[in-house]
Amino acid sequence: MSQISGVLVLAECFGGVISPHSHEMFSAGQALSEGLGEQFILALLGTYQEDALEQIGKLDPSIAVVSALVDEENVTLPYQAWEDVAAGVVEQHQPRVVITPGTAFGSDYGARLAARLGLPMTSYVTSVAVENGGVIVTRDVLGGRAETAIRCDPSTTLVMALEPGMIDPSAIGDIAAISLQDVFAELAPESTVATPVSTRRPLKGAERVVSGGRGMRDATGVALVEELAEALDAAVGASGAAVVMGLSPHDLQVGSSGEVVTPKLYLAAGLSGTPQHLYGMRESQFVVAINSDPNAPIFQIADFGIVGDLFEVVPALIAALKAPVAS
Amino acid sequence: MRIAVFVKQVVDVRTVRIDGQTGKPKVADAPVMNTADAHAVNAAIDLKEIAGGEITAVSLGPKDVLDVLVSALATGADQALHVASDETSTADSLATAQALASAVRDEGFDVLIAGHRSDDTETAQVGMQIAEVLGIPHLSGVMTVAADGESLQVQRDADGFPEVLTVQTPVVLIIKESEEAPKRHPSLRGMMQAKRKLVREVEADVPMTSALSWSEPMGQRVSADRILLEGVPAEDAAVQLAAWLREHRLVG
Ligand SMILES: Cc1cc2nc3c(=O)[nH]c(=O)nc-3n(C[C@H](O)[C@H](O)[C@H](O)COP(=O)(O)OP(=O)(O)OC[C@H]3O[C@@H](n4cnc5c(N)ncnc54)[C@H](O)[C@@H]3O)c2cc1C
Ligand SMILES: Nc1ncnc2c1ncn2[C@@H]1O[C@H](COP(=O)(O)O)[C@@H](O)[C@H]1O
Repeated sequence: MSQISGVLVLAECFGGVISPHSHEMFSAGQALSEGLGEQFILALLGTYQEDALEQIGKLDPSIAVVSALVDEENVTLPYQAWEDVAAGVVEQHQPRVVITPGTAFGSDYGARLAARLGLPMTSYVTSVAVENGGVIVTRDVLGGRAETAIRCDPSTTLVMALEPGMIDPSAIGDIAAISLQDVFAELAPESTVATPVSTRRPLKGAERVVSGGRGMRDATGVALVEELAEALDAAVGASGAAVVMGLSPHDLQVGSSGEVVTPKLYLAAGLSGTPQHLYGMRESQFVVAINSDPNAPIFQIADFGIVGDLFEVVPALIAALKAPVAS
Repeated sequence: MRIAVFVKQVVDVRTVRIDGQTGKPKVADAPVMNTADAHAVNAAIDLKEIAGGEITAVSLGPKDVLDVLVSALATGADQALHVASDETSTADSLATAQALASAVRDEGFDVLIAGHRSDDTETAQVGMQIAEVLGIPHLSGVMTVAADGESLQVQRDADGFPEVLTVQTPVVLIIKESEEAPKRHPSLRGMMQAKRKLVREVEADVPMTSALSWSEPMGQRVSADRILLEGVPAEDAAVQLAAWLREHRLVG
């Protein structure tokens, strides 16, 4: 059996442009290649990648760049062409680690690629590291409420896909990483039902933050969360879902593609606590969560949790905060 | 049309509690059918209603998985195939997919339906890997299916955008995740009928091994003074929270 070596990143190029997620893959690949002391191989997969190849320009010369043109012409489903090309690159290089895209598009071929080559695969990876000369990755299980660490037999190639938005992206040669903030800002609708940001307490540096998520549902829920923030003299924050739904402006987003906050109090209402959101608030001193689902991962890090409907609990809390304190 | 639907038995993640002191998940209740697979069973029945044919529910695991097979039969599947193995806890997605693919390979299925991902291991790999091992295409994010002879019109969610594709059978369809409860459930009448339906057993013919090793899942350890109010009326809970906020000097 031939020896496996090297860390291979299968970056995606769409229309000559490297995808934002590819910068996260690059960053993870670089960390692993450094940690293992092995060659870093960057493959650019796409129907057209010349622009990207040109732009990479001054890439660290120790990185091997492979151009892998995908021809989607004669396949029924595009991912089949990507899978064929990816399989060729992996077979040629026999790497120790392969990083496939964790995007919706990339997921369609990553697991198939692993099955075709008979290799173990793990998806939704939230962190990568090298420990005792071996690769160790983490991922969430059991509905995001627990985490497991995965290792791979060092004689076998490990295929992995990353959970998007969890690993800090890095520049690829001359191409700066598109910040996730910008990606989300673009996803966000132009106007939202929330009060304009200018009239509020700034999120950055706030001592208290009250954030709402998808559970706010509509303008009524948003108004409730804003009123609670007012009662607590807190800044308002939001989850990525609330932003994409047009409830809250992107400036208020907390998380890996929003603001990272470390207030004394972080109160989360109607948001589940996805890894991307926790990234932005887990260092808060005290966390309070209001959620109707007792299994929401946010309760895992809450100091005070109320399982209940925010449309009942939040008005009651506003009333309780306004009521005179019995001495 | 010959339809297969893959159903997995999993721990009921809604009943898993994380021990605050050790961080270890505690599984209390009986295992259940994977949430996504209940949707897959419904999609199989929808397809049978428009295209006719027969549905076989397929599950890999120890004897216990007969429960989820019976539950699929009681919801409307016509027969069941138990791919027996006592070692599935050491299998990774590839071994699982190989065992399932091998069990269905010679059954002549036109459409094979899987869930998006397992509630417990959350890999979202097995459906696609079954397709790869069988050498047939798959479609992910499937929302609705219409049939027309040998081909299917499939409406799917392509990264947030709906698209309609026409595909030839055989094909693996991976049903889009849904937060809604599935339309159909096992009925009492279905349970009675299930007793008369055919359940076959084959041995898994692939070793249940993996080059991967995974650590015991660990949840967050929480401090002993963590407070979680469940089933407390909103007003009472709010008053307690307000007092707690004041006590910790967290009000403005
Ligand atoms: C590259 C990338 C980057 C991302 N970056 C970020 C980021 O920076 N920040 C971020 O937040 N997200 C980010 N996301 C999105 C993230 O993956 C989730 O989609 C998002 O965090 C979910 O928001 P949510 O918790 O509001 O929604 P959900 O996960 O849908 O949770 C809604 C919660 O509300 C609860 N609920 C519903 N109704 C009620 C009610 N009446 N009362 C009480 N509770 C109720 C539900 O039980 C549920 O737990 C990113 C995603 C990607 C792919
Ligand atoms: N042991 C199993 N038996 C039957 N089907 C399974 C099994 N494991 C996974 N599947 C199918 O594959 C889908 C994706 O699972 P996973 O890749 O584990 O997240 C599930 O929704 C099921 O349809």
